[in-house]
Amino acid sequence: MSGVIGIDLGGTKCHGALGDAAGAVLAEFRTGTDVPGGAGEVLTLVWRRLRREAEDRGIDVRHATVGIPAVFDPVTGQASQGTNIGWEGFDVAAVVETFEVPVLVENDANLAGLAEATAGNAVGVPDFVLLSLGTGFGGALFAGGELVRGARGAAAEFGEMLLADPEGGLVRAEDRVSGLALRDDARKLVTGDAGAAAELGEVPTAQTVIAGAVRGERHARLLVEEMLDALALVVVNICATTDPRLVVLDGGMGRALAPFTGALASRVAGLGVSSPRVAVSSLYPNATISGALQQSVRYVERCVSKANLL
Amino acid sequence: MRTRSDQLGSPRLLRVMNERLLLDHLLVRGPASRADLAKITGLSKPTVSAALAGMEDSGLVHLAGEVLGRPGPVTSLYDVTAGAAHIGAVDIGRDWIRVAVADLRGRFVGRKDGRNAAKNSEDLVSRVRELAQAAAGQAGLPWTSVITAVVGSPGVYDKDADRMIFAPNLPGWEGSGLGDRLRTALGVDVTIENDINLAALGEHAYGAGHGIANFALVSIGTGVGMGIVVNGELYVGARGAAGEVSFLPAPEPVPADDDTLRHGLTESLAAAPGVVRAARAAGLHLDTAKEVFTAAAEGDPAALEVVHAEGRRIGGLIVAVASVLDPELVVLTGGVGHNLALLGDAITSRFAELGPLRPRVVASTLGDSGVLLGAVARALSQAWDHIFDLRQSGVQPRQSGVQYGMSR
Repeated sequence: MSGVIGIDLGGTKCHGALGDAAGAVLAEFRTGTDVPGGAGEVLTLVWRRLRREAEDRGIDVRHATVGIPAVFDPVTGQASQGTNIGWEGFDVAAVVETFEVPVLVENDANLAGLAEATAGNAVGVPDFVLLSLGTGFGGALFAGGELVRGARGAAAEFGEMLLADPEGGLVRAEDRVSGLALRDDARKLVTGDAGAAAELGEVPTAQTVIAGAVRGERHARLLVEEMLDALALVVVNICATTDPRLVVLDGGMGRALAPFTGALASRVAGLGVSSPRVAVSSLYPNATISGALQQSVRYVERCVSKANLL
Repeated sequence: MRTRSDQLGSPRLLRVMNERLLLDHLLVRGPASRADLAKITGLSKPTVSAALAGMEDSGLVHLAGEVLGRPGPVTSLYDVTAGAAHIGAVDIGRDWIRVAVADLRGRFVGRKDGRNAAKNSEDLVSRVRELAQAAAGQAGLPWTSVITAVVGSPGVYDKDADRMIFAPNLPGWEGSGLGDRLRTALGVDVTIENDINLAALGEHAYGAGHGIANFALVSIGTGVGMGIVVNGELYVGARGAAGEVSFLPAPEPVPADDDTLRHGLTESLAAAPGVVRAARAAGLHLDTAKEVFTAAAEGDPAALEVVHAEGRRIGGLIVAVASVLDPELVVLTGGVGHNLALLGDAITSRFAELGPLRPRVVASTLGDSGVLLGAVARALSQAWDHIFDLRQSGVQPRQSGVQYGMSR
C-alpha cells in the first residue's frame, strides 16, 4: 500500500502526518523546534519518525510535502523572509534531498489556502484570503480561484504589512499580531504590573493569554483586544486592496482566536469598504498539513495515471 | 484516425474556430498570405482558403495586396478589415468626459473630449450622447456603426441594482437605472466598468504594463484608486471593490468629518484636494494641485515640501499594497500621480525607510487616454466574441456598417 507524508515546519514546532493513498491521516508526530541544529534537524527527525510509522504499517511512502513559514525560492532552494526564526538563507532543499522520495516545498499558508479551497471553508468561494497566525504571521491570497504568488513569491506576506503604531511611526504587522508578539506584550506587562502578573502568571504564553481572555479575565482580554485592533487594520488593508469575500484564520493562534471572530468582523465593518465573512479553519490536523497531504496525493495520482498511459 | 472533435464539434463550430484563429494572427502580425497562415497555424491550405473566403464574403478580411517579383505565382496578402465594425469608449471623470470611436484594430478613428459641467445624471448621460455622436461624426461615421461601448466611471458598478456605489464625486451618479439610461441614450450594448480598472487594462494592452503578469496601476487625481492585474488578468475582487485604496487606513491624523468618511482616509489626504489643503496650510495661496506642482517645479521651497510629503504618502500607499500583492511594477497616473519626476525621490526614500523588497515605479505614458484605451481593449474583446458568436449561430450579415449590431 502506498502513502504520503505532509509536514508543517513552524516557528516553534514541527508537526507532520502520515497519510494513506487518499491523504487520510494514519499517524501524527509533533515536536518543538527549539533544539540544537534548529529547523533542519527537526525536519529530518519528524521525517524519520513518520517514515518508521509507515514501515510499521507496511506503507510505501511515495511523496512528501513540506510547508515552511517563509518564501521558498525554487531556483536557489533556499527560504527567505522567514523573519521569526532565522530562516533567511535556510537551505531547505539540502535537507529534503536526503528524504529519498520526491519532496515538494511550499509556503505553509499557500498549502493551507489550497486545502481550504478544495476541502475547507473556501469551497465555492473563489476570492478569499487565509491568515496563518502562529509564532509568526503569514497568509495566502486567492483571486478568481487562483493562488496569487506575486512577482517574487511574496504576495500575501501579511506579517510584512506596515501599520500605524499607536505610539507613533510604523510597525510591522507581525510585531503586533503573532504568537510571539502576544507573548512578548504579556511578559512586558507582567514585569511592571503585579495585578497583571497575578492574573497572567509570571511567564505567560500566547495560549495562556488567549485562554484567559476567553474566560473574560481583564488583562488578558485587553491584550487580545489590542491585538484584534491591529489585526482588523490588516484585514481592512487587504479588503481595500483585493476585496475578498471570506477571511479564514488558521495556525495555532488563528484557531485559538475562534471565540473572537465576531469581535474581529465588527471591527473590520467599522473601518472598511467591504466586509468579508470571517471563519476559522476546521481542517484536521491543521490546514497546512491537510494541504501538504493533498498536494502529495495529487503528485502520486498523476504519476499513477501517467504510468497507466505508458 | 478519428479524433474526439470529429464527433463533438459541428462543422460550423470548427469553421468558426479556424476563422478566429486566422483572424487573431492577422490582428497580431498584420497582412499575411494563405501559405504563411497555413504554416503558422498548422491548418491545411484548402482550410485556410475556405475560411478566408468566408470572412471575405462577410467583410471581415480583404485582399490587402499582392507580392510580386518572386518566382512562381503572385502571392495575395490578406488583412483584417478594421473598419468592418466600430466600438465606443467612454471615460467619465469629474472634470472631463472623453469619448472615442475605434476600429477593429483598436485605433481611434474619432475622439471628442468635453468639460463635465453636469449637475445630475440625466445631464451627464445626454452630454455623453452628444460627445459620442460628435466623435463618430469626426470619423465620418454614424454612431449607429458602433456595435458595443464600454463606459469607465469612478466608483463600483453594482450590476444587480444597476447603479454606481462609491462615486461621491459625480452628482446623482449613485441613483439606480444608470446602465439602462446609458443604453437608451447610446442605442448600443453598454458595459460599465470602474475607470481605474480600465486604465489598468489600458496599461496592460498598450502601456507600461504590457506583458507584465503582476502589476498595479495607482491613480491619484481628484480621487485615489488602484487597478490590479494578477496572474496576467484584471482582478476586481469578489464584489468589484478591489483597489478601492482610498479607504486604506491612513498613518497620519485626518479630520474625522463626514466628508472624510465618505471619501476614505487615504483619499482625503493624498488626492488633489488634500494636496491643496496642505499647500494652504504651508502658506501658499494656490487653488489647484496642478499649481502646487508647477510651483514646486519652479523651485518654490514651500511647494517642494508639500510635494515631498505627498511623495512619502504615495510611497507608503505602494508599500501597503505591495505587502498584499507583491507586484512587479506600479504604474502611477492621474493629475497628481503623473508628476513622478517631482515625486520620485520622496517615494524612493520612503521605500528605503520601510524595507528592501519594493516594486519598480513608473509614470503612465498613455496621458489622458489611459481609461479610453482600456475601454477599447475591453470593448474589442466583447466585439470579437460577439462577431464570432453570430457567425457560429449561422447569421450571415450583409456587407454594411451595421451588420454586426449587438442586441441589447
